[in-house]
Amino acid sequence: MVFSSAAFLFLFLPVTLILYFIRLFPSNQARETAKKNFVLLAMSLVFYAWGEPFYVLLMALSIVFNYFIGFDIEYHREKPKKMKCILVFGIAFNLISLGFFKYSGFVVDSINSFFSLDIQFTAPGLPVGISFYTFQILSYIVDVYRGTVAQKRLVPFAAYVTMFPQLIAGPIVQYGDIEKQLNERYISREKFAAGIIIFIKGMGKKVLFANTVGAFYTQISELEITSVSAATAWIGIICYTLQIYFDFSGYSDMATGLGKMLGFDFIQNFNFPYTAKSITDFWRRWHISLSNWFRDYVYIPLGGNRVGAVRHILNILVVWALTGMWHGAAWNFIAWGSLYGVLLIVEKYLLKNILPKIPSVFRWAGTMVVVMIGWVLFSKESFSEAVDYIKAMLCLSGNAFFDSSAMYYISTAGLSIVIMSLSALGYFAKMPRIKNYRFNVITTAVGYTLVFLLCVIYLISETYNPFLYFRF
Amino acid sequence: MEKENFNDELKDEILTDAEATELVVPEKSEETVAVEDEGQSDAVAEKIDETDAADKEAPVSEKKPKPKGRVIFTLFITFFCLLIGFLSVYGFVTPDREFSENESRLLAKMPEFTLNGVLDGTFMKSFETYLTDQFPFRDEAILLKSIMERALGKREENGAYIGKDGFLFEKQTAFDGERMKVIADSINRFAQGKEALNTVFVLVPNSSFVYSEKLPDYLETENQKEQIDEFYAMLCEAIVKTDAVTPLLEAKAAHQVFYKSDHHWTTRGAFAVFEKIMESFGEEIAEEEFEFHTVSNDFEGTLKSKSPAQNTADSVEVCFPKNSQGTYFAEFSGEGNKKESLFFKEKLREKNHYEVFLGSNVAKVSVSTVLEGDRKLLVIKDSFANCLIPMLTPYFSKIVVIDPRYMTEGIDGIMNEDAFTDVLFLYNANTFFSDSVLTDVLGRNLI
Repeated sequence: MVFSSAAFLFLFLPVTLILYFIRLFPSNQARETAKKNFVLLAMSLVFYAWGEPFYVLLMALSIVFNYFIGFDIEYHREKPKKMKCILVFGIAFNLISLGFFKYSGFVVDSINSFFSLDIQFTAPGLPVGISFYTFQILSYIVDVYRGTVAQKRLVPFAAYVTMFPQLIAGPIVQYGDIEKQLNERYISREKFAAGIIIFIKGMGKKVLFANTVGAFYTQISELEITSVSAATAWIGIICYTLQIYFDFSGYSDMATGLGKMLGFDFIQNFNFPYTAKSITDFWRRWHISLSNWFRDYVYIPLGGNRVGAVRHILNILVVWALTGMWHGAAWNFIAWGSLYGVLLIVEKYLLKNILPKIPSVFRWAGTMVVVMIGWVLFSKESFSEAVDYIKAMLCLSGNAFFDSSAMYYISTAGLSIVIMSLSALGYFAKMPRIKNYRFNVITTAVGYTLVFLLCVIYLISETYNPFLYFRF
Repeated sequence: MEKENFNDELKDEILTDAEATELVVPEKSEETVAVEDEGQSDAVAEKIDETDAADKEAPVSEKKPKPKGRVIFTLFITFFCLLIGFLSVYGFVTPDREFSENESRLLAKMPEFTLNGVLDGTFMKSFETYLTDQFPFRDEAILLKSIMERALGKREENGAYIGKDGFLFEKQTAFDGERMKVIADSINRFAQGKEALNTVFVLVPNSSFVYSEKLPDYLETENQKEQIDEFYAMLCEAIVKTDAVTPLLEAKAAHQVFYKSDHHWTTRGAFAVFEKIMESFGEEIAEEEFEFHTVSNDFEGTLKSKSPAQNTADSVEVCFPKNSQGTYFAEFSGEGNKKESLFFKEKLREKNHYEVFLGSNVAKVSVSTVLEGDRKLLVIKDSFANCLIPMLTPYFSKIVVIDPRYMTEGIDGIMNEDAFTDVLFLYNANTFFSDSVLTDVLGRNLI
């Protein structure tokens, strides 16, 4: 089930909220929270089973297994060696499960083409959200090992893993961040109202912005690439750049908003990534929860930057190849991730003293060009398609620089692109506001109700509605 | 930051309700207020996580210790819940609609609940389709979206181009040379087997070519004349290739030869090409022998359904030979329907007025005329031919019209039934370039 669907908005959400907020134990706060966790867990399982009626069993199995792993680690607290063994076993189990469902097809294909073999293998279907929940589980058992967290009860732990707002497309919530909230959380009208607003904002980003601009990108990517003019290719990738941002950050906003309605505070996942003035800066602003995860559970355990230069460079490359792989099981994703690894090394070692001297507008422009070329790698099915597209962008495929089709896209998509770019660059957020509290609250409420109605209008008249990030 | 913020909240919660309100309201609402516009996107989250909680808390709560915001929040939450509740409940209590005229399709019904359906996920998928299809105010929503998108400059909608002067255009089908060669070969084999047969082939361009000046600015489309010529070159000598492009471009000055709201040609357009077709059959025709009558002024065709915001309606004319009353009778396949006319007046009361010609598409229509002689015509066609068939009745003693898209068996049975002297292939380019059944239907004849 996706958030921006009639089934979620008008059936699942009302039912969940009613069950969640009915007070069964008005006098007992702890039991009330336990009941809320139970409702959250039950409805999250329904939410997941709605889209994955079979793989919900896999997720349940994984939760129970890891709950006991955590328990076992805690139990052997006094025997570090034994504890480490259990942790390694737990991590291996999770990675093998993720590897089998997500990467087995890719690995077999790669072996076949590399060694010219013909191993017959039918890859299993990818369970939705497995990359997200596996990472959350890993963070939990590692943190138990580190002694920073521990959960004795199954329901709150299961509720943490399955929590429907972030189950399918993040943000990747680390157990330590919401441990307290699982046991005791703060719910107020203001928070609930803020949750609604953030949810609507996310849905607007997804339904009104991402889908619209995505339709333009689809049109352009369906053209014969060798005859596409450079200008059209750039318009196409600008559309994709906007689409993936609004799609993914819209999803994160919807998750954050729903979380707030239920009383949870998730970490901020995006912070105007397209205003970044360097690649390092970009990754501090894009999918922050994923970067944090790799930093805490891969980069720092490998030694981070407190090692020799060669080892440091190696660490960065490993982290970024893995980041690329996390996004999808294909060579172009690995190339995409590794490209960022190399660029970050270049920034850290070669451009360290040069970058600050460049005027910031050029740094921004350079960063955006790199990011957009990265999105070409990201968006195409194969490496060769991506290369063809980049050639078209650079006028290297014998194509024209500008033609009438570019003019057509400027005249039909131009206005949408300008509005969305201003939004992505934060210009609307920076607009001066009237300093009247009541006026602001009312206009916000009215404005977002309209956005909600528009979203519903778009939803029911549109069949084109897949989330880009469902692949992961 | 995150944890600090959270601790603050916990602290607040321990306080009494009123105190908590005073402390929290201004702080929290300030954040809410920050979310005013689309694209403030991360501003909210940013503020919640960083600035506000830590920096502004103290001064803000001193400045605004009033709980006035609380009423607004309660109102907003109540309104939002009522809105969602209303749409949910309203959707379930209104009776389901069966058919959507705009889309010419049956709407999804409540799927049957079966264990297997749930286990393999098909139940959930059909249920979501059902909810969306039966959503209250769906047609209005589609219209509003169409208006919005147009205002933002979009010129393509559900596969239709929004042109100038009220014209809508069907998107052109790509010309795939290799596939067309396969189709051409099957037509060639069909014609070469029967030298006595007089075979005429007409491929009609679409309005996006004939009225290309009405297309949206800067939109480039394929040159259908070149594509048609390329296909004609693949056909063998024995087949007479009739040019439909020139007569349409000529007739365009005097008449509207394509509908604005529908993908078909108008009867005037068909008549212009009809003259050329009859030339190919060796007949000279005079326009004054035919009558034109306007039967509708409010035809909203298939393209208008794709772009509901388009404010366009067309007139529909019928054309038939003078004094043709009672000169033929027609038999339609399917319902075994016999009629003394090729026109279906009752269709003018329905949505698709183009169906006044030959009704809905069927596999086969046989027309027997009062004409003596053995000239018998087989028409292999798509729906473009429907408005042209009545014009053919004075020239043949029998006309059999087949639409391969609806046929369940090969053409050989039909060829054996009658001794045909003439064959007419009549297609429009978009349908023909995407055809996937003609080879099959013709091919079975050879086996």
